[in-house]
Amino acid sequence: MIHGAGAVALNLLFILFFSLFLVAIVAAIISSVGNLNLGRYSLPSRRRVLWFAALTPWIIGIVTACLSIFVDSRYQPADGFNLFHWHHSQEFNLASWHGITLLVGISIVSFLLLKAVFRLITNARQLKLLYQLAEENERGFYQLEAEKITAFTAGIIKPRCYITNGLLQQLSAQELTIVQLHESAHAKSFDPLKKWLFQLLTSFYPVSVSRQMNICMTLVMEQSADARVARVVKDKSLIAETLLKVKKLASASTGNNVLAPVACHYAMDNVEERINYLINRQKETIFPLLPVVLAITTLAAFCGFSADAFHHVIEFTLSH
Amino acid sequence: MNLGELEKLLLKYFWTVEVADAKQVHAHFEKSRGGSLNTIQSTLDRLFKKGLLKRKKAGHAFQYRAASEKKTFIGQLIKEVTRDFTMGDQESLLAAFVSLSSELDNEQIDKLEKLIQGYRANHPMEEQR
Repeated sequence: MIHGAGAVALNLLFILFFSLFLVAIVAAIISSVGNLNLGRYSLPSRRRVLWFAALTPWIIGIVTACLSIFVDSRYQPADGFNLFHWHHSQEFNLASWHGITLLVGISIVSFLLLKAVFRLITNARQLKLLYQLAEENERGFYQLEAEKITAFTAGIIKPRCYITNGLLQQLSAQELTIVQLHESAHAKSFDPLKKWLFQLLTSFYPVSVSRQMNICMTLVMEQSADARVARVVKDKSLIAETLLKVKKLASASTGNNVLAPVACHYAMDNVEERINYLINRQKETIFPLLPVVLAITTLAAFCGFSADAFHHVIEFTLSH
Repeated sequence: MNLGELEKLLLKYFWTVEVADAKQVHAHFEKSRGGSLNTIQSTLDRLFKKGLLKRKKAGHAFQYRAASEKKTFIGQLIKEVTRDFTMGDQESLLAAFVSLSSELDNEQIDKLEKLIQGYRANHPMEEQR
């Protein structure tokens, strides 16, 4: 049995994991019931909402843990304020279901963290070699001698824009400018780093939810880069045309070509959404943050109330 | 994998010649960058161990050649780097100009082309800029 500050810390962690688990279940239920269409909201609004959603489990976990532990202790802010409760914050038994749950929680979080860091290191190693073999051209692109049709921005600390000779040879000067502006926009906003952070944060959600969130975030990043191109190149149809051309070339080079209409794909291609957004942009609205804040507060309160109740149910069942 | 400056130079050299031994490589680089034959030999050995060069014994010396052509090697490297985004954008650490994870069907392409043409017809001024 652990007593004192150590026990408080372990109890905090236990409630944090419990809340993370609860939020993940709620998110899975919500995503299976309804499909939130973010497309009609402005880009900054969508970006804010997605980051907020990615951070929500942690915010709720920390708030719930602090409320449950400190409200029921000598740190209690007011006498009689007893809505949130954790009845043995000063003791923690490692050889109990608390200990096992904590161990499982720590293992999952460590696994996801290590996995993300491992991917980051592997990616950095591969990129280093690619960078060494690339030649920087007068446009600031890192040119790669390969037939593959691709242009991308990669690198966490120092993002660089890469383009293959295969693509370069197929583009006119104007089209190349569009590709360059688009990739530079990614590099300037450190999108690879943001993608990694976002993937890490959303990895604590169920796979179906995290996948959907990452698809939305990728689309937001791509549309933001397109929007930055549109500030320089006023002809949006040219941007759209370049997108479509590169997409067709890339499909042809991978040997897949365009799919037959009967082919199944899990989502609409983001090139289609990007072209629609560029050309058919409707009046955008700001995402109403108040319902989101209210939902998160309610969820945090629910987690706070249920933490101890859940604890009693388990201990009653296990005759602890 | 990390390549030193000399390793990079030697690898690029082997992409331009078919085979060469350490002495030939040393003779090629002697004027431009100097360095001893020993340095060249150990660098060639490192490149061989990294799998970037192949070698076979010819008399007392090794004959080296590139393990793969430049385009093939870089193409393979790009494939590895971009593998995560061809598996699905949500797993990617890159920001690609166009996604490789999903395809457009002919109907979608036609629709988008018509959309672009329609937009251009309604916004003739933009085309002139």
